[in-house]
Amino acid sequence: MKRISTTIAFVLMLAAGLAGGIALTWAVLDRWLAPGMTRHGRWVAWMKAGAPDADPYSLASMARRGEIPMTPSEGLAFFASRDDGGSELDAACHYEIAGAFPPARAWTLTIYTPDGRVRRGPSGRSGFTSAEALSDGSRVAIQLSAAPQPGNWIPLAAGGRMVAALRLYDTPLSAETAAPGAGRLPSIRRVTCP
Amino acid sequence: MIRDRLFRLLPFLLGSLAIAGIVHLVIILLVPAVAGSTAAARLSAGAPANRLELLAGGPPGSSELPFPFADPAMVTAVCRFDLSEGPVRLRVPTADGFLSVVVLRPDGRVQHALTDRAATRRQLAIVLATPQQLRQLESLDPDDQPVQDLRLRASHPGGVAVIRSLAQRDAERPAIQALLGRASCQQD
Repeated sequence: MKRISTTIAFVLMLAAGLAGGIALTWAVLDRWLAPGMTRHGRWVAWMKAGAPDADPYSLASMARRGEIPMTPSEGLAFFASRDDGGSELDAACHYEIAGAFPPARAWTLTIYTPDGRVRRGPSGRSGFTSAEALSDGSRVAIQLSAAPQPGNWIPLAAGGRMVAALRLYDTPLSAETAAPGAGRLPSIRRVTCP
Repeated sequence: MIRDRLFRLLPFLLGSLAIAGIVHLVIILLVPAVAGSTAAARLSAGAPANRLELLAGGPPGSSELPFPFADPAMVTAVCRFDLSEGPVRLRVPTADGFLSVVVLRPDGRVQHALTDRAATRRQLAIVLATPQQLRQLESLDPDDQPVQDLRLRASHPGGVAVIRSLAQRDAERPAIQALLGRASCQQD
């Protein structure tokens, strides 16, 4: 009798360990905040993913999503899946991404679905580049909304979660020296939400 | 009584945790090797070796990207290289816009990355070679002339070179596509 219960406990231990390990891995790889990432306000960046000495977590994340990371010699890429208030970005809402964009030879702002496809609204635009966006001095304001907006407008189609990506090409900022503080990246403000 | 039972279960609980930790680490380390979905693996699937291919990226208005979370403003070309029969030469013309060349191992790890800032006379002339081939190249170098190529050491005999150039406006896209169309990737 005792031997049977020991065997059962042993099998349970193996099963629990296996299930726990898989669940833990899934949770880590699925989050927008994993080891190997740095946070700047609501924006997160895999600073090391594109470096030759990338850590295993960054590599696994990139592999799972099938993504090619931005390399440090190209620039920096930041992703945001939540607004400044901490709620998940929802294509049914109206957001304003605004602020002084960090110095770079060029930047692009793109809106993705959570699995990395571009969300295109009726007008076909899914983002802005630094050459396209109208700016007020160094300040740029971009409206994300289903309803037409004056100025820089990215039309949102249908509802659902979304991810914003800000890429700075050839930027003097680097992972080691001048990781931008939260105040230096544009804010993501929710204007209205039905 | 309950404490007794807990005490007997403790080794099994600790065992579960240890196994979970090991399983987690093993999966993390294996994902890039096993996931046939790494961008490098997917981009090179079925592509002929040592030939540059311009990725369409879909017509304007479509939501096709060459790989997940790709920058839609980028025009992308890829070359699956195979160094088993000799070094591979990449020639990429550059213009005023941002352009980068990233060399990936099959598991997705970035080996080399450079931008148009490394170009001389509006061209990036790159030679990809294994350490052995590099030594051979160096032994053949004339002593009185500087080497014109950027020589990159490939620790793997195969991989993918991804060339991306930024089209800041849709109107610039055809010109950038033509620019990358003039790039080449071939056995040296």
